[in-house]
Amino acid sequence: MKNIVVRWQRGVPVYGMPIITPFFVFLCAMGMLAIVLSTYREYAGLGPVSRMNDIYPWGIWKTFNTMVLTGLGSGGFSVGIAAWIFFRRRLHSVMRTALLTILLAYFGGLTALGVDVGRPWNFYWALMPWKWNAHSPLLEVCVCMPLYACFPLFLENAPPLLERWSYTWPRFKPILLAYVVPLTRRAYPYVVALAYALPVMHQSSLGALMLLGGSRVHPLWQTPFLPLLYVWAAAYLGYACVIGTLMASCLVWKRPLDMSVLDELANIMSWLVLTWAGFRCLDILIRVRSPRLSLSIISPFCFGQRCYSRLCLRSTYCGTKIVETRASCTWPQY
Amino acid sequence: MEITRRDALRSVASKCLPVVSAALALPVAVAAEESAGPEAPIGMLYDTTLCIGCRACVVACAEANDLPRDVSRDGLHQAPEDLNAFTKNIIKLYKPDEHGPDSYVKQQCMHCLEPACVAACPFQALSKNEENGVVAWEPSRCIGCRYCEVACAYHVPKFEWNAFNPKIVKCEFCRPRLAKGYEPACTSVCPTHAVIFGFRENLLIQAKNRIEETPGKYFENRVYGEHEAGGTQVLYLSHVPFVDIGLPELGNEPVPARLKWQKRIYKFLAFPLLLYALLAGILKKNWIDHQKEMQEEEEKTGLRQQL
Repeated sequence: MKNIVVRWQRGVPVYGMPIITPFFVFLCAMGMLAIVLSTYREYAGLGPVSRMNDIYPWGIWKTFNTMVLTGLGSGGFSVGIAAWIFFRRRLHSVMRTALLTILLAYFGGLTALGVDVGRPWNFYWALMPWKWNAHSPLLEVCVCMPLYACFPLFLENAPPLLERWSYTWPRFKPILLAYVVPLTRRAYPYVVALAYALPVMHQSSLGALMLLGGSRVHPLWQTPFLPLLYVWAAAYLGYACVIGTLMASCLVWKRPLDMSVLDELANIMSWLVLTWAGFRCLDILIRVRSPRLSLSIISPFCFGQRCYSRLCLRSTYCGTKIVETRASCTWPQY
Repeated sequence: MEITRRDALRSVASKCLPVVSAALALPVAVAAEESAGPEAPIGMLYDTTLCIGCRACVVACAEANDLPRDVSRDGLHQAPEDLNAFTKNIIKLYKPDEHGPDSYVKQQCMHCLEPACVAACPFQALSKNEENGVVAWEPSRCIGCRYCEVACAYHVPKFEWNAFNPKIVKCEFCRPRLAKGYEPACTSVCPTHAVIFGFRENLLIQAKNRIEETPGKYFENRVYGEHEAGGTQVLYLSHVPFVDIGLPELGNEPVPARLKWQKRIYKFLAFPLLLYALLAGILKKNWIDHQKEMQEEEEKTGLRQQL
């Protein structure tokens, strides 16, 4: 049996697993705590809850909520581009995982953003384009990100749900086959193209946010190429997160790993990371002439905007290595 | 499948239209970048050599703007430490450890000619008056994102961290007083005329006259705010280096100019539309291939394929 190579062809639904596990209860407790704290924040203001102040007006919060979380979740967009645009067919088998990850990450990020802003009730201005300041990078994020999360992302995540309904809801099946499926087939390429164009836009705008920050960003990181670096980083963080999620879920649901698909993902990611790092070095080498930067290189605390994400990446690497080592000795091989 | 002339024309048109529109948009975007600026900018001129540090302007500012007393520390009100949610205007003292001249400095919003906060604000809650150039905050539009605080190079806008209905607090040039025909509270009470009010143009001439009368008295014989960060409406004359009294050397390029490439790319949404058209074109083709492959695979294995 060991000679048969396991191939991931499609996502396999998991049935009959216990839902209420200790971990689930723990997550629920965390959620409850978050609700209590957010309620307190609505009453007491942002200061006492987040310890932000006028010197650190965004603290680590906006960086962590929106920049890192959506960057990590970007698998649905970066793996999708490889699968659909560059026609890496094997990667279609991991798209469902990637899409669910990106849905959770974006809604996590958006919810956190709603708690993070001081006057969320004024968000309705987002619906009135004539009131926009079209050149603000934050507007791009405020409009583009919910648009992406609520429209293309939901449609991309619809097929598993429709499939499930077609099995469990017999009266729905004819409607599905007559109307929903043809409509989906016709709209799919256009919606998916939107699902790749929008993240490129708002991930680059997340980078552009800090261009106005000037001296608030360490000179090592304050580069005019921040938008490009952000899109690139989001792309490879997405791969890292998809690999991590796949391994973790295979570990939890006791499914075999298809190392060839994971290899392909890791391979693409390694190239993305390498080109990113190369471009970053080039960027520093070009800017090193400016006295501010050469001073800063001597300083020991060269933390930049994406330091948290780099940390996350490193831990994903370590995690991947650990799971890989474990997988090679104890993995159930069919 | 044969390609008719009509199909060919249509496909060429659909592919070229975004490219052409993007190519046309870039020069237009580059050309339309010069902003007009306010018609008759008002301003303040502050002279460190005249200020005696009496803080009358701080008190007058708090009174004119109905600012609450800052009793956040021990329940007792005392002089504020910095600009904060209770303070729109402050006098600070620069006193170097080594022997050298010390100096008072007045800090408030600089009312930049091209303000970074206005460029940053997503919903135009902060806006620059087209007539007199005052940068003002409109509460009904503010979502409290604090991007203005991040963007401001002078660290001026402050946020009410302890309120459930927080406001952005910054000097608004005493807007209500201006509307009634009075000058701002701080300039009206200054006993030594260290800070004076007037049109920016006139104040600039006056500042240059002072430098001409006593060359060498002022730092670098320079008016801070004439060109700094694209020019500000609050002008400074100082006998100590500007950096020492909290006025950063920003260069003459306005802060919003750092977004010029973003502006060019997003003009008429030309480049995003181009990207979308490109992606949709490739996807359409790959989608058909993918469906064929799915069908073949289904026939071969008997298992339903997924999206």
